[in-house]
Amino acid sequence: MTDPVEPMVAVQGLTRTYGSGAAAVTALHDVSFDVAPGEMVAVVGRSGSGKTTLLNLLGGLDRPDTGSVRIAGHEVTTLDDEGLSRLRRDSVAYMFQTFGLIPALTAAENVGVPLRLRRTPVAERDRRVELLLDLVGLRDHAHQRPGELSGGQQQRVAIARALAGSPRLLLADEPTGQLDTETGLSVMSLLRAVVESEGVTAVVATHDALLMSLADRVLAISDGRVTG
Amino acid sequence: MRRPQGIHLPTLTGRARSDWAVLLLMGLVAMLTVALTAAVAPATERAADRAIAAAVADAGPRGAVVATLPEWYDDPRGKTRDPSTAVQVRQDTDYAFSAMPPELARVLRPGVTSVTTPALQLLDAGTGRFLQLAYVDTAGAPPAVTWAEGGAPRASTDVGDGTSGDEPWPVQVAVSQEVADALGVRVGDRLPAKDEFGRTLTIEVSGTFVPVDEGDAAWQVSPRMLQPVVGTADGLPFSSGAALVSAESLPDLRFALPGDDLTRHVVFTPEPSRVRWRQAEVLERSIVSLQSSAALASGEISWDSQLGSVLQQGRAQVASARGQAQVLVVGLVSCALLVLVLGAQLLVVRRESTLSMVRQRGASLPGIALELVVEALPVAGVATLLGLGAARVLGGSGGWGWSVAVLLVASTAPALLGAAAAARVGDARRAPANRIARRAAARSRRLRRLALEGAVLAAAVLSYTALQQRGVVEPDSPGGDVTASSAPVWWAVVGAVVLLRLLPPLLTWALGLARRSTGSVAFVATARLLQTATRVLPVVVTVVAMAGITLGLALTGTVRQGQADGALSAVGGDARIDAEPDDGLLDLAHDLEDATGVRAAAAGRVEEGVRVSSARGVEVVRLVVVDSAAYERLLLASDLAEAPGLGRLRSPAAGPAPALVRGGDARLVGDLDVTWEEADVPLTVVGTAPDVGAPARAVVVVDAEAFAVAGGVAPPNTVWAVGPGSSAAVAAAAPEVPESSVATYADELRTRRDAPLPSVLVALALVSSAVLLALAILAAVLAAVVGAPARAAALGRLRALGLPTRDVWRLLVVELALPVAVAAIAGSAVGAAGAHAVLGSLSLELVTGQPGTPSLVVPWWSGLAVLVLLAAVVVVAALELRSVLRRPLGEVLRA
Ligand SMILES: Nc1ncnc2c1ncn2[C@@H]1O[C@H](COP(=O)(O)OP(=O)(O)OP(=O)(O)O)[C@@H](O)[C@H]1O
Ligand SMILES: [Mg+2]
Repeated sequence: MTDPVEPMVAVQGLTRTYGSGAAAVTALHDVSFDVAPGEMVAVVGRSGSGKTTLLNLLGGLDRPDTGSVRIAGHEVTTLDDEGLSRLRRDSVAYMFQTFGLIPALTAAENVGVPLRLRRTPVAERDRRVELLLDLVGLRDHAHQRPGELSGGQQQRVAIARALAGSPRLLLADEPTGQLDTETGLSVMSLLRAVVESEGVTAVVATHDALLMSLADRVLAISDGRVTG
Repeated sequence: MRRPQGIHLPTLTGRARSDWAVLLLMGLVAMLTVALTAAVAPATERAADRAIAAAVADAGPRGAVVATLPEWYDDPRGKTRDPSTAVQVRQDTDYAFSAMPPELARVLRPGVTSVTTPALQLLDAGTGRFLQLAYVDTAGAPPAVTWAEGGAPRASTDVGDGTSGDEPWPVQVAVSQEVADALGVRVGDRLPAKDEFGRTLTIEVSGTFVPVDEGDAAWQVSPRMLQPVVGTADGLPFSSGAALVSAESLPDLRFALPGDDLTRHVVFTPEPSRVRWRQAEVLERSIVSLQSSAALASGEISWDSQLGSVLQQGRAQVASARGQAQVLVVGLVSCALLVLVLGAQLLVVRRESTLSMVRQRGASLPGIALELVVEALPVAGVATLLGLGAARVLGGSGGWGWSVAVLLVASTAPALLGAAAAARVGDARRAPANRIARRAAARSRRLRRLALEGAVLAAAVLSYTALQQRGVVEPDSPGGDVTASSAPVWWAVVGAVVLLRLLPPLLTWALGLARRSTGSVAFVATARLLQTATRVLPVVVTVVAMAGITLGLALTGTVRQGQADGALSAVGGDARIDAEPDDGLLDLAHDLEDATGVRAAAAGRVEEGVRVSSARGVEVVRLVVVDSAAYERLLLASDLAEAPGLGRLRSPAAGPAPALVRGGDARLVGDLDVTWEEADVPLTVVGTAPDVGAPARAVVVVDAEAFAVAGGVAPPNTVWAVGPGSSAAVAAAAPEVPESSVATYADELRTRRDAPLPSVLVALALVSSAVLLALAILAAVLAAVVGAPARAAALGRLRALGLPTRDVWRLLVVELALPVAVAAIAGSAVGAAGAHAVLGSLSLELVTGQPGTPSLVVPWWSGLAVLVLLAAVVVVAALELRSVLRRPLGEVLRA
């Protein structure tokens, strides 16, 4: 049982330096912050400020030099390979700028992949996939392949896929980066709505000011430091 | 400042440096291919020379060129003894030599000149003694002898000047010890003799000799000089020999007998090592023109020789072997060229972003292509030169054609593919926004693919038809091209095309099966395969390589099995003793059957050239008189042949002997009469003889007892044995059998294996199979490397979704190994089917020396190639997994 006041994400003194010696780049410098359960946080900053680095560390896709990342009270930075797989399978979901759908699979099949990774029974999987496609408004496109969907539709499939495994934390790295402003905005509002209805905590990296307004809180970083 | 069309060297070298491994690999492939293809032609030519020499050597006297000089003219006004006869003979010989085309003269040894009489009957002591007189001269010298008694024949001038016609004129001769014994003549004997027209002379024996070298070709003029024949004819004893006339006594012979009794020949025997395969055709033609040029009747030299047909047979064997070598080489080169293209593709994939950047900055396509050629040409050029050099070191290089093809592909493929990739940059047709335009583009893609497939199929049909119609054609014979020899490659490509057509529906079907599963690996793996397994080039390379390997190994297996079958059949068992006819051999066969390691043994009489007559005609056959029960056991205990009819040979208490026959153009049916020791023995055909040996003539097999009942007595002269201990048992028994010789399966097989053409062909097949396997592995590695970045990204996304590491490994293995496995198995199947289809056209029997097309043998270990390839792919997968896991996932996903 998680203490209701315990934050979903607790970051303490996080530092990540790429390379060494003269070529060393400190992408994150002593970053600390918390995200409450159900909160939607926008991480903003200029290109190269360290947004992707931060999200990677949150999801266990990369390891920090120092500092700790706790997700739902569990330390992430010390997990082994197996533990990280389990974390990503059960608690943390990822959304990519390039959608990352499997081209040979239909929208519904793509959404089902995280459920397969959790070995969800077929009937339950089908139900959940249908529900999620409904949620993102793609019920009529369930059997189309990514190549037959528009960019906005593809990212909506990616949202459905990210939520399929009922994660507690959703990490999205510039989910609207490949979309035009209008589509980006609609995808972002959808994300906002869905996150709310599913009760998921979300950390979304973006440098689009318009999208920031949809977040509960904005975490601004600049040159690897949290500035607001 | 930028020169869009110019070549910027630092850029070039920088690019080459970053892709040095790929360039090096391509260079290695080019070098290896050039070296192999350049070395094949001289190697086969050397083998061809040895094969032609062997054919000439095996032909023995049959290969000789015989000049028959015109009959000596006898002046009707009376003749005189001419002391210069030997000199004239010598001059005639020189004339004959000079009359030959020089290319023929070059391969012949000095002629053996002979003047021979018919067998002359000795008149002094009863009937039945015959002596042929022969003058023999090799390059001015008589055959070397040592004198046992007396001396060389001398001139008979002391009895007169040769004008007297009453007394039979004396001619001095020398005889070998054997002839002296057989005919009962001694030195100093004066033997009156006559020819068949009653013309007489007196033969004086001047000496007896022992030949220095029994193998001297001079003795071939009349074998009876050394081996007299003693026997009975029409119930009366007779003996027949030949005597040597010297240069001094030749004038006496010339004077004693009329010209029509004196046959003059010059026999030129070819020196096998001087006969080269390249000249064989010219030689053949000059022999034909020689034979047709002059006639004896016109007082000219007449020529006769089987050398032409010996050479023709040899050339047919060489042509067949060269054709087969060509099939193997075409397979090898095709596969190498495909791998080079695959390498070029890898280069282009690695440079895709650079190329598109260069293009966007305004570089022209020819400019881009030129830069890539400038980069690839030195690598390809150096590789080609090194390859040619290696071939030269390995024993001469020849045939530039393939090297040029390799050089061309290695230097231009990266440029063409690179330019094509650059051309796609900003090409709006690639993914048109408009649905109708998209559909039109898809349709034109489909049509292009169909057209390409149609072209491949047409090429396959064309090459197959060419192969069926004229068989494999010699590479440099008139009209010889690679059309026929490329048939197996084209069919392999057709197989790949079919596979590429079948894979998507099959995978879709498999995806359907996996759809209802709970887990992720099978489902995701199939989905990935749908995306990646149908990349054309890797599938085509794998299928072509495996088909080539299977074909090469099938060729090897078939040739070797054919050699084994042929050897077993030629010996008639694992070991054989040939001896003089003797009933004791029956006991020997019994004893052998009890020897350890001998499964069965049988004795029989094998006689060549026996006359058999039937109602339909006369046939000269090989007669085999066997103990049929023992022989049946022998055949059953060996792999020799089926022997269903042997049981029917025993039986009759009287009457004709049942016989099995094989061959003889349907003349040998019903009741037969065998001429056996001057008598007729009746036979009756009851079935087909077992297929043993490769006799030139028809074969008649009878049971010894039944043959005896029918009136023929045929003591055995041959004993066969089968079983692992046969050679040893036969070798142990043979010394007790007088005048016997032993033939063993092992020796016969070794002879066949060591024959020049089969050994070079088998070596080439094995080497090309090994190289093809290496190429297949290389292709798999290149294909894996080409797809690695995209695969890493796709797997990275799945890992971000929670795919555990062990499933990453499974996905990797399935994605890399499954297409290779399917293509490899399909390739093997296509190769085996192709081997089956082209077997007859390859004329392998000319190489194995069997009477008919050998049956196809695909060795089981050709399947090992598939396993080796798969093992290599699993290693590649393991290496890729390591590199994927080494990088942090975050970094992989950034790429
Ligand atoms: N593998 C690496 N090696 C060296 N430096 C790196 C590496 N990955 C990222 N960096 C550097 O770390 C810094 C932060 O990069 P990061 O990708 O986190 O920025 P970002 O805010 O996501 O930028 P963008 O908005 O362009 O995506 C940058 O200066 C980048 O150059
Ligand atoms: Mg980023």
